[in-house]
Amino acid sequence: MNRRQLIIFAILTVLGLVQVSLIPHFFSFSWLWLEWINLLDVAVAAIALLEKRSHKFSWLAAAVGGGFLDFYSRRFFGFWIIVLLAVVALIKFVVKKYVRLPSYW
Amino acid sequence: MTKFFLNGLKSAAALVIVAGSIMVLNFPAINSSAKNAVYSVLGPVERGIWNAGAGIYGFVEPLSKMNSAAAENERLHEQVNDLLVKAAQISDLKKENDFLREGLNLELDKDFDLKLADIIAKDVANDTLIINKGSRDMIDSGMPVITSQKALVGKISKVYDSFSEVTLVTSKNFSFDVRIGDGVDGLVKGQGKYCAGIDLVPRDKGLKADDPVYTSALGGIFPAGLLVGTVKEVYRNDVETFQSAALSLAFDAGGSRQVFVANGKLPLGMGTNPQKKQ
Repeated sequence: MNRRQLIIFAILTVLGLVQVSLIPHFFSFSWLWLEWINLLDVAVAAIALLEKRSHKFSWLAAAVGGGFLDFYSRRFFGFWIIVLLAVVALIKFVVKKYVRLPSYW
Repeated sequence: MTKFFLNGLKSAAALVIVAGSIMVLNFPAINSSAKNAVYSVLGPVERGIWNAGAGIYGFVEPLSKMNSAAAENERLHEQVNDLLVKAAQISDLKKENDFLREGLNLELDKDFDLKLADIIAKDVANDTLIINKGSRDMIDSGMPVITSQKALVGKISKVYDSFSEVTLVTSKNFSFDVRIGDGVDGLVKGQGKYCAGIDLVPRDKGLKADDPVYTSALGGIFPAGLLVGTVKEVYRNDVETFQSAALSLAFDAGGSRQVFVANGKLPLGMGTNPQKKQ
């Protein structure tokens, strides 16, 4: 694991903490579907979109980010891991089949 | 060919590790220990972030209500006048109540013990809070959680060593009996997203906006007399047997930093019944 990936893990942890401890204060201003779209979802999706096709870091980010969310969820452990892995799988599939995006790292 | 095989092997190993971790972490004992460990490590940081959020909310929330401030002010003036009249009546009743309480020798402070707890986080997709008191602090499942103003927050649903989960009254599928205004019985149902409604109020019962809503001991979930909130809007339909209402909660999760857990020999309020004492 390189330095950039470690920084991304640190950012994921901070986003997770903000999601569970800061965002709930402003939940009443949000829309109903927001519970499914949290900061870690967006971050993992962004990693999956922007990384090179041959890279697999987004899978690891999905497992770690999902694990973090699972610790703060009443659902069975692994629910968010599966959701985020599915998001990564979907993005990878769509990007591979139908989209041509510039890769930044 | 060898590279393809090795890549496949690596992916399979990663899948097995993730699946194995999920299976192991779903065992209740391991799950509780792991969650407790994570909360212990991240708890102090989360408490700081939660308090910062409460501070920001305290600043932002009044700004968002600026438009309705004038109407609110007028309504509050009317309420103040009403309350002044009621205060005079209450003063007389209080004297009478003190006299009777002395006569019955009720010791309210011995009925329950309140444990102060800090809120550190909220579940991502459910109306559940995590507080920094657990089984080490004699917290147990089912205990009511209230604010310093005796407003109902919810109940303890899961206990770890040093932390607990609080299911808010607004949590989906959570319902309990309440008493509205001058003694109308109803049922509060959580709707999720910090929203709850009142249901099963007979149509002939007078129900109006701003009526206070208190817990009732009927269902045995909460002790009687805890403030839940006020009636926001009444929905009455000539066809339906019951009327329902939207509930404005007394507890504000956004601005709260601490709560009390009723941790005692008797649930809050149970001991105030003279018949039970005898």
